[in-house]
Amino acid sequence: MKGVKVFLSGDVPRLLRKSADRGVCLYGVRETDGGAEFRCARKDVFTLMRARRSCGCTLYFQKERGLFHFAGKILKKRPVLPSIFILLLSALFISGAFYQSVEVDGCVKTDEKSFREALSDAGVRPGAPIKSVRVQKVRAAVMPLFPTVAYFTLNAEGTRARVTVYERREAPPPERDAPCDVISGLTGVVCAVRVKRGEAQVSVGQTVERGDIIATGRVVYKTGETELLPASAEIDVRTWSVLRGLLPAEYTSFERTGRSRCAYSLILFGKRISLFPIESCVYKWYHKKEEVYALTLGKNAALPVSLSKETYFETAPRKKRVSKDAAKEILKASLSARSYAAAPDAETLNTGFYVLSRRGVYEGVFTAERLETTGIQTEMKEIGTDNKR
Amino acid sequence: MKLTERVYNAAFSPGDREEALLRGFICVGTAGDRGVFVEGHRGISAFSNTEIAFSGKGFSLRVAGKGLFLRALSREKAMVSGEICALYFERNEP
Repeated sequence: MKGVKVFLSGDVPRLLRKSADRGVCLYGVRETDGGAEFRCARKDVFTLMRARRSCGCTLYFQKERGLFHFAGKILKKRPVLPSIFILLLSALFISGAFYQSVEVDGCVKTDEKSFREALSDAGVRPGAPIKSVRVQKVRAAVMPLFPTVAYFTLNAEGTRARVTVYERREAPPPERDAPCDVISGLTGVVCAVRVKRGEAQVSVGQTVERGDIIATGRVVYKTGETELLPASAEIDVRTWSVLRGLLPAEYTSFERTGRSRCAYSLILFGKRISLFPIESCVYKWYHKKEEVYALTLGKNAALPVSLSKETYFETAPRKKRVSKDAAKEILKASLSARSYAAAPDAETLNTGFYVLSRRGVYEGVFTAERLETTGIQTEMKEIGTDNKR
Repeated sequence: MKLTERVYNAAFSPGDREEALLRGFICVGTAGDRGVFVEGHRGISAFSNTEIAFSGKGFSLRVAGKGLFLRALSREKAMVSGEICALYFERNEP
């Protein structure tokens, strides 16, 4: 029975008798603490209020408010128009959640058709849900297929996917005919000098520093004539490098205690709605593992609703000590990798490594003796100016 | 004999039943022990969740039980629901 809910206190039988005499139908009359409650039709409210005056009872009419009540009233009175509105809104919403077209700009050297096909295979095609497209994944799938493409952007403009392609540009060739000097990029002892053009400025056994001229393009002939040439030369240099690395002797390890809690949330159009209220800081220290279950329709159509399960594992900090052997191994691997990365093409002649332990810190020292090749063409300086960088 | 008739006969003694019928106070029937349909009452004289009394002309009908409530109440008809234990028919004091 719908209608008005009424709470009554006072002489209940009397009011019931009076209201029945006045032809008011009451429904669900139940006894409550100090009175009764019932429902009656909306049209009988004023009759009940008049009956109340002669009984000395108190009536309280429960007000019905809220969006659902309002929507229910409208739907009950005018069901067609709101239904059409809701249907249109739903259709608009659904149509706005999918790509209608894909536009590709900037393809000059790249075949646009094959690029579009690759995009389609990666999920960017008309009819695909906008929310299901992840730009990073699309780039990872498409970029390796097109070496001419340096970068591309993917933006959703309403229901249109706009892809802008940036292609690779060739670097302009160096001006070979411009006069220049060749300088050293390293510091060490010269082992070999190879001059293709220009005049050598260093000899074997000499020490060079970074920035020293090793060959000049300013050639002075015996006749006193001076010619400016683009010098070309390279030298082999024996270098010594020392790398140092530090490792704390103690570290804090967070180990799981075995206790865990789960928090479920609903991800609706990118918005996260927590299903169960859970405090923001579950444990003082914890590891979090998140699993997202996406709701899909078939292989490629993903609905914008997914369930997220976050598992919080409680952890506790434990102090741990690093053994010297472990520190030696870690530091040696790290420093040798750094040393190799500094000069990957160099020939390593000799290496050394040792570990020192002091003040709760392990210090690793890695020495390397290498044979490297250098020779950097640089703009010719005026005579008398320092060419060091 | 129908169930409603059996309950009706059990609730009213033969003499009262005739008088009740004559005076227009009629208990139409019951739905097992879960409901009583009363017709021709003249108001409610007592109301609680263990007892509901209907007044009539010279008679009153008491419905006793647990968790009683009036499912519907109009001028002449009433439907009592709940766990009904007994129906009493009483003659009003002159």
